[in-house]
Amino acid sequence: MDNLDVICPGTAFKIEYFATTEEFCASCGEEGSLLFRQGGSLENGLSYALNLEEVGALWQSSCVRDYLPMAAFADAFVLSSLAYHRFVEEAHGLGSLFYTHRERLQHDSLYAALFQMAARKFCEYKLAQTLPEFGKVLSLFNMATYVPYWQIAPGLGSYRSELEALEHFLYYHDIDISPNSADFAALAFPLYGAAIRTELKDLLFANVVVADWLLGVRNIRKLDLELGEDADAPKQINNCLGNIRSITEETLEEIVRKEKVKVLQAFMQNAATQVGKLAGVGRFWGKSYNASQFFLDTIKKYQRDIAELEYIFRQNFTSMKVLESFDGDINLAKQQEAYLASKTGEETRVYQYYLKRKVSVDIMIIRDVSGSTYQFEREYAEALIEILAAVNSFEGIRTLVIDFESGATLRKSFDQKLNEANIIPVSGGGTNMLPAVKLLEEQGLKGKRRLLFILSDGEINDRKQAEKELAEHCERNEIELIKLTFDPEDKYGYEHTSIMNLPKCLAQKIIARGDTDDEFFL
Amino acid sequence: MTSSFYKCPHNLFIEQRLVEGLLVYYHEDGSPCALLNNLQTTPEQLLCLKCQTLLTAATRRELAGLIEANEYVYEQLRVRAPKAASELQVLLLGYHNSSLVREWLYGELQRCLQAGAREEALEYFRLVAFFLAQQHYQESLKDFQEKLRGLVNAFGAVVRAALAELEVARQSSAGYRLCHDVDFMLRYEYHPRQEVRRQHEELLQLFKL
Repeated sequence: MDNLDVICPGTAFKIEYFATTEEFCASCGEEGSLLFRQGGSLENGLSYALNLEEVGALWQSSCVRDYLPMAAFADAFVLSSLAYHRFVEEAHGLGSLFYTHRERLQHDSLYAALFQMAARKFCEYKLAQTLPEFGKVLSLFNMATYVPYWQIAPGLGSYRSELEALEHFLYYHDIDISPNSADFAALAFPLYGAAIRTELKDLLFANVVVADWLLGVRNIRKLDLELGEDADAPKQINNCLGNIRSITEETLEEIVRKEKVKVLQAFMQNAATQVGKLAGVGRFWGKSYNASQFFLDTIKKYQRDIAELEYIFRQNFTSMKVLESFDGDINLAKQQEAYLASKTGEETRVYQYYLKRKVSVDIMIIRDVSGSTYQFEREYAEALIEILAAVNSFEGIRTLVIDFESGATLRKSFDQKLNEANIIPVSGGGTNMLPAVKLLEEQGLKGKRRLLFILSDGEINDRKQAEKELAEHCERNEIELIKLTFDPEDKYGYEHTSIMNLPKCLAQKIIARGDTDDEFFL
Repeated sequence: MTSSFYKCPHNLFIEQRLVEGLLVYYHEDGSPCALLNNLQTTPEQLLCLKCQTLLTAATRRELAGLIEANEYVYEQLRVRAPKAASELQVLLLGYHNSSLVREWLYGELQRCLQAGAREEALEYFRLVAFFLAQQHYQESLKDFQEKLRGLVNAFGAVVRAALAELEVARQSSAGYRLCHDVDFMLRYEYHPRQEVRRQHEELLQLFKL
């Protein structure tokens, strides 16, 4: 299962999976949905329960069966719910608008149905901007499922054609609508189209306008009273994931024309297969990690690995060289030692000396933290801290870390202490290396050996130009360039390594290239 | 992926094309729609533009005439002229939900009053009075009074004069309440700066001419 807690970092949640409907009912009671249940609160933690038997049946009949594995489909329920919490329920700064919205959501079936429908797409859009890979899963999930609002709330039957038209527009980009819905489409489609890609307040605005337009500017509470609607209808609509149905391939062909089915299937296939190659997607996103706490936690977590790496470095960089010598060939310090030994009566054998190997290496790491690295952002940051901590105690080794996405950030300068560095799990934005190269050019180098590591997970937007500039910089400053990638199918001559193996791989390269052979001192 | 029903705020039919995974909106003549393609455009701006497109001189005259004939009752209007009622409904929603629409409408009204276009100004006032004389929107007292205060602060005593001329108070109970509230506000809550008061008096003179 993917690391779902990156979606709502401040919210605790647990997921319970039940293999059969009996187990699900025995645990959750008979009330409500047999598919998915949500409980708890944002403050005290959320709890989710999934009936895998029902979810499996839904997945079997859905049109994304070939593109989305069953486990990912099941997780998409939780993903959808967490995204809703993050982008809708935890939204701040809306003031009275939000309270009016909450109240209307509780009483107005049509408003609730329209909102839930648009909010699912809104969350998908926002998630694709911040966490693209999860955004793809949610997009597939939303295309494969629908909520029949007109069945849940009896009064909504008369709005079925409009609700369906809106759903097809939002999820399948389909605007082939009936003449009866033309006025509705002319008003609602542009408003929702703009709302889902802007902010929540815009979504609320669009929802109020469209709901009022459909109601003919009447008082919804009066209307509900007249229609004698089920009082629980808005409640059920708001818990829409429990009432979800699957879109089969046949239904998909009914929704859109044949040539569009092919386009949609190509889209699904693309979303399902193109993992980790999303250079340029989305905006920068960073969680509010406490850098020093993260550093301390990582040091504590990997203390054995760090000690092991440090030992290897020590073996290589501080190994002693035995120097056969005689009395006249020693320096002042050793003469003093010999004199002291003669006074104390100790044996004065000072014919063998150890020389320490002198290290002088500048290690520079430029790492890609674009949106596509979100899946391993924690491990990525931990690996970096691990290697930096291992070389930290060596006087002659200086380290520098620069992160790049759309821009570049200096995470650790040469003169900065490691515990003051700002290395945290972070991902988001595009993949432009040029700003990082510019930033690197501003740094002063001192080491006799200079090693530059480029870490990337695949595509770099400005690769050609950045690499050209980097090569020139390296040549001018005698820097040795080592390019590593996490993409096994790399086409650009980068050496492949995995995140798990990154600290050891870096250590090997540093040892192999950082050795300054003939430099020794006492 | 074309549609003969879906129009953008330019009032042109729109078609969608998926270009490299991105949804791009094109007008019927093949030119891309800058409004719908702009990722920064908000629904409120779109609604405001839609209202501006809808309310041309001809439609304004037609709608003002329909309102007069149906005595400010939306339900009647919807039965007798469904197409016009649909357009009016968009304007009504725009007026009540968007401050951008209100500002634009008041700007147009101001322009007419300053230019001495009395008939045109009365048509605008008829529309504004129709929007404010809807019972549904008067139920939320705070919102209603806020909108009314905006109107009174923008035009002062001209509002009272226009409502009296249009005989809004006679048309419906909501219309009566509107006039009553305008009177009350002008008497007790209208305290503009000296130069604003002078401007409003000048507008009133122009309106009465």
